[in-house]
Amino acid sequence: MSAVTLEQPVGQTSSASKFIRRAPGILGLLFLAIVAVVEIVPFVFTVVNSAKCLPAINAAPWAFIPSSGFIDCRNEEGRPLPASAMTSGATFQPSLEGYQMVIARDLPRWFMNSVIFAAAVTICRILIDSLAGYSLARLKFPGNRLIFFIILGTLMIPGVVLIVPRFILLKQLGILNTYQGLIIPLAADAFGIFLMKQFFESIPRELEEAAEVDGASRLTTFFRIILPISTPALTALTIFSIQGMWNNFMDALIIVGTNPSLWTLTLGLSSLQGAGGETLIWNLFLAGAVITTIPMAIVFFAFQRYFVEGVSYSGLAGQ
Amino acid sequence: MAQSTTSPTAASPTRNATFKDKNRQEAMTGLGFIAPAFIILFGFLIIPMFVAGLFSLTNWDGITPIARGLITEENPNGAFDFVGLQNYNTILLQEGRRQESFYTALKNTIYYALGVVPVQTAFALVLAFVVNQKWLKGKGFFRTAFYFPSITSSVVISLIFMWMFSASGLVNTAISFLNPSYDPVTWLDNPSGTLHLLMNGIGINPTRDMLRVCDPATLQLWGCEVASIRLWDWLSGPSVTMATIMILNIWTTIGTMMVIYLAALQSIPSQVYEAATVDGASRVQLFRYITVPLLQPTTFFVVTIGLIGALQVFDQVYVMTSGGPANTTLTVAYLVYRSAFSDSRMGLAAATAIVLFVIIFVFTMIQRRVTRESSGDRA
Amino acid sequence: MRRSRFAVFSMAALTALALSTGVLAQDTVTITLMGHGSSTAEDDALNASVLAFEEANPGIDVDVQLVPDFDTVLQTAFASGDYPEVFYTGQSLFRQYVDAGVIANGSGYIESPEGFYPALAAVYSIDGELYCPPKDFSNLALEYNTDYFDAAGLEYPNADWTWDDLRAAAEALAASGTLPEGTVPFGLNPDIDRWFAFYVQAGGTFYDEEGNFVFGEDANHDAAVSALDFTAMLTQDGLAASSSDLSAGWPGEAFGQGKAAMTMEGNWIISYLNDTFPDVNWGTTELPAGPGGEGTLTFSEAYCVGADNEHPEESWALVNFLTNEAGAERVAAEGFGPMPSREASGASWIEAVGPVGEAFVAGGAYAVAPVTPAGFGEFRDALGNGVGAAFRGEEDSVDVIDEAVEVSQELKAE
Repeated sequence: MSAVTLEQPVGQTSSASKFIRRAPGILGLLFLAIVAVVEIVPFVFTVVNSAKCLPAINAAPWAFIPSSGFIDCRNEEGRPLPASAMTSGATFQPSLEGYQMVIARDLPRWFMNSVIFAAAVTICRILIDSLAGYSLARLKFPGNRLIFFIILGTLMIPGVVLIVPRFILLKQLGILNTYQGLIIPLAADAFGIFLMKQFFESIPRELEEAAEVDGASRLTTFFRIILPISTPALTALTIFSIQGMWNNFMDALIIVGTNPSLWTLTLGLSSLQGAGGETLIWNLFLAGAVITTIPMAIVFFAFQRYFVEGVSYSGLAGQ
Repeated sequence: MAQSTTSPTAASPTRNATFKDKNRQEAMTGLGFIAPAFIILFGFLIIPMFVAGLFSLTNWDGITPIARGLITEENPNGAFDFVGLQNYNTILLQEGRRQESFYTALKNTIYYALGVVPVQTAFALVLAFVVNQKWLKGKGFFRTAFYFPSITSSVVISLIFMWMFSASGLVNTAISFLNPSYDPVTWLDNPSGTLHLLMNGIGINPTRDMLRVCDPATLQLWGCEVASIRLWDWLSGPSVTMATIMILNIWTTIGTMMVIYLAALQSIPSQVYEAATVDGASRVQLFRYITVPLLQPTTFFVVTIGLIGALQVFDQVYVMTSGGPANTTLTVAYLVYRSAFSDSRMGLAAATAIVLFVIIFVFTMIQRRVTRESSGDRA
Repeated sequence: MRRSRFAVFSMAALTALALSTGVLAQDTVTITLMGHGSSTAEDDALNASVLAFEEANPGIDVDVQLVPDFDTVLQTAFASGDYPEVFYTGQSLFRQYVDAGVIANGSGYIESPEGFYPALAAVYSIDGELYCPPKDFSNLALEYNTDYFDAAGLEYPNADWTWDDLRAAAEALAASGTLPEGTVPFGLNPDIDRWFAFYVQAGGTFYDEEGNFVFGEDANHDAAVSALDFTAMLTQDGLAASSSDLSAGWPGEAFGQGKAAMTMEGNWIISYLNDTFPDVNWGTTELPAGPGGEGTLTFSEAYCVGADNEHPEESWALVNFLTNEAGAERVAAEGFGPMPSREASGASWIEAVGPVGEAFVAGGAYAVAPVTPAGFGEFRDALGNGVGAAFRGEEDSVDVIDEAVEVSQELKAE
């Protein structure tokens, strides 16, 4: 079976053979749907359980059908309601307790810090990583390969041993507990450079040569010709960068951990993990997870549209 | 190679730039383009790496303020003493507990990487190919669904996995439903090696006494120790718990790898497919003979990044098992963390980290040979 | 004209104000208190105490930093040489920090040190000198599900219980047929921070007179083996099971879910059970005594003052404010998870949390802190793995203890 077959006129084939031709497609779709469910089920349960009262999460984590409007988790005396009062079978009575607890903290500030941080780092990386990747992929200069291996090498050492040296370095530079302290050290990353390098190597060389004949400088070629056709790779870089910064914990902890006004979402939410003393307050914790995940899902959904086959070279065919 | 031959011929001789000037100019541009990235990485990663390398030559505990300096007669309260290569000797050569820990961690890490990297790469490639099809309805939904585990925080994912794989969790319930005679497995607390289980299945089942013997003359080798670990234990394979962590990791990274492939797929001109289709190629043939070869540089990238990530696996171990049960999920990166922050032996931790760095480098080089990067600048 | 005179006047006033605040700012000392976040109520109470301190001491500003992943942040700060004046220190890290020379000796500075529980003060003392005043602590106690005991017609566990009573009750619960399907009499993890309690009850000690770590050595060998035999038999006979076998995250959860009729956890279980399992009926008592007498484990933290510190006077003033009799009473009155570190405040704490608190306070008289020496991670792993293997019946108790002792001696030799 093939997609091309599906698109072709099928007028002369009988309906039985049409079905036989389509059956694998339907099975394939079913397979996709199953994989999608497997990938997404844990998040569904995160959402469902974030909207339960604490006793209900422990008693019936599988209950997924809300059976009423939002309820209060405690009675008039302030005692928590028992699980038996709010779950039965697959149904549960939802509550916003987890979300109320999260929002009662400094959530908007953490959220804004995460946005500032992720946006600044991503903009820097788009520029710096793609310039570096292009240089490594296309330009000949002494030490090209050596520099590539050095950059790749920075990915290979466990970050745990770098914590202390980096902390001391940032302290000497006087940028601990500042926005720039969190942005500058992360403004370039080996993963992004490597990603862009591999991408640039796969685009046809003729494009630049044509520009070169016209007398364009490398910088002009890069910005006028190369970057515009690099949408898919830049999209991937953007997604990874935003995601990486959004979930970044260790750097944020070491650089701005002692200044709550600069805390990011991950720091703020991990400070809530201890809110139950020795034990985890699940609904609070899961509500935090939902609040962190949703914006990333939206970002991804918005950006994935740029992965459209054939767009990048529509202009190339004629050259 | 293509680069050096094509560019001078393509350059028009009417431009008065000579060959040499052009090369110099290109070199300057190249260095200029890479300078910002290199300065940042040099300042914030490479210098700290050198400092960590220096730590590995000391007995520093990682707590005493480093500025107190070298321990000398005049400065008995100093922070550290240079011990040469002793830390490396302790983990690599000197028989004992630390050597055993290191090689156990190395064994676990390698089994982990060998299991995770091929599976996640293959899955990601197939998924990316499928969600890139024009005919597929709801592409955005499927792509987002497949990417979801990558955007959920790893702590949350790990906790949810622990819950799904608990003794009476979703996974065991589902298996029991399909197979009523199933004896529930405790996935997250099961040190039995999967290769051991496999070997037991085909009748290789050394007794406790056999494991105590090492006699090459009679070919009783199971008890022979190589680097403080018995031969039988080297061949354990990942434990059931480690295999569970491997599944978790494959499941979370597929999305990321899929996105990389998805980006690369856009650079295969659709004309190539159209031409092949006209020649009568089937979908499977298109995938096998056009997509896979054209994605070679991307596969190189995905495998390299996957391998580096797998050999540094830390998060899930930290959240889910802390190295247990019976050290079967102890990985090298977790060992580094434990030495640095629980055992307060920063020198030893740094040495372990450097050794891991070298191992990853060697693996990457081997992998580079194997995947045969087909790009232009290959020597 | 008038307006300009007003302008001049206000300029002068502003300048004077600026000057005076400048002078004031010079007199004000800022000290940092770093710790980890606790429950919301506890954090609020700490902030309130600090505010009260600042009001009583106008020259001192306290910057309270409650950070996530506190141990990592603090250790990094130590290493860099620029660390807080006052910080929390857990019992297992205290020796390491003292060895690293980052903790100031508190003897002579700490107010009425005799009021702390002696066992607790001993944890933070070196050669009889108390370095850091204990902040608060938790002890292990035995929790039991009253409904299950009622259904089986058994008497509730009490403070006079011995190992034999525990085993007999577990057998009776199992034999009664009244426990629900899948419920075991006792929830017990192969976790050395629980198992050490049995070791102590069997008469085992951790340190000798000279301060050497002597787990399982010489006279302690029999204690360790008998503790492991007793607990491993409970598990192998199906009377006890670990939380992972019971599909729970920890024994307290298994207990709350009704999958275990008894378990041994610390103070933290009180608020956990109240909030998460409000309909479970339960009680507490002291842990059973073993052949070596009574024994329980204690888990505590202290306020320590940094050694490289420009404001020691102010730092000690803050620490004393938080840990003196009045400070302990404030902790007690709030009735949080951990107990105040002073014996005199035990009664107020029980009043605040209710009768379930009695067993925890009672344990304070004989509790032992299960502290292993710095860098003994490998020992803890070896013993923990061995205890797990013994529970599963894969290894002999004697072999497990011998191997752990071997590791301990190897580490001591380093």
